[in-house]
Amino acid sequence: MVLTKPSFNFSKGNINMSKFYDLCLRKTSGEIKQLSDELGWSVTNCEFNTVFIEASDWGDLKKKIGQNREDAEVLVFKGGDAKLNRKAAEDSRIDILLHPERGRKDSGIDHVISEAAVKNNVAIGFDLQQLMKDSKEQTHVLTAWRRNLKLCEKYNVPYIVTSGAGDKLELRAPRELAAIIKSLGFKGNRAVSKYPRKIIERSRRTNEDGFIRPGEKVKENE
Amino acid sequence: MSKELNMLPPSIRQKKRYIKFKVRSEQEVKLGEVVDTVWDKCLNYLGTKETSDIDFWIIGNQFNEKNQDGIIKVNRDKLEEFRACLALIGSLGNKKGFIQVEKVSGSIKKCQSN
Repeated sequence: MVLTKPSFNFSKGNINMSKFYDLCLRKTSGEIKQLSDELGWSVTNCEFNTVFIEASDWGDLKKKIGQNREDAEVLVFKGGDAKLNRKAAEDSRIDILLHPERGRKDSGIDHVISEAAVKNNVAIGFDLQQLMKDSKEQTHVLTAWRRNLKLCEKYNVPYIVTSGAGDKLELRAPRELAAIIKSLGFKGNRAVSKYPRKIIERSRRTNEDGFIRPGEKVKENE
Repeated sequence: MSKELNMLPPSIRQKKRYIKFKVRSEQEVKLGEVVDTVWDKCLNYLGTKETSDIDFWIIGNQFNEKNQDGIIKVNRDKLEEFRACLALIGSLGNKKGFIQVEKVSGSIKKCQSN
């Protein structure tokens, strides 16, 4: 029997390295794009259109979703109000429910909202800018994050973490953001890599020609 | 006269990692400001007990004020917790900025090489 050496090709293109995505930067510019590339982000919303919406009531929210859905590749709702958090989770046109805990004493999400979010493919967004406050507020935010992450893991709700940067010095590297989630005892890599990738893929699928709704598409020859 | 302790055998020594970092800020930052900020943030986020577990040390002679980079030694098992602390830094001294982790390695020599 002749044993031959297996041949491995470790050139850069062949290694399956994970890509990192930040979908919710508040401002985009050439400077921010350059620094985010240096920090290791593969894709940020400098390259596509992320629209943030805020609303005061359900009617307002419905109107804004209708106005912005067509233009937006990723539609983000800035949460904070319990009723609107639930309405947003029940609407499949929204991609991300960002900081549901903002300005609240509780975490902004319960098991009902989690079940609705997973059914409608709405991801929960964790915004680093909520943590950049004094220690007391930081403690409350971390408590809410821990609770929300527990619900996300239990009900398989997708979740993402974002730096939410408004200028270049508010950016953070992907592994640092993942480390915050990891330090709370959850899987940080999913929040910067797997789940955001799925959101982008879904968005691209829905923007394709002939798309009607999930599972239905017009064939070219018909 | 105090006698120096013998070095422990490698198998029972604490396992460590060296982090090469780069400071990104609006103005140049001095080593003292980096040290104060990192200590402050670690104690604030993790508390005294966890910070003692991390056992980090900012190596003074490795900090380059011109390039604004340096090396920190940390406990290997607590690397992720330390990274989380670094991510929460939003200003150094009175200057807005953050600390970017460039490389993690098992030796200082590898950290210094590009």
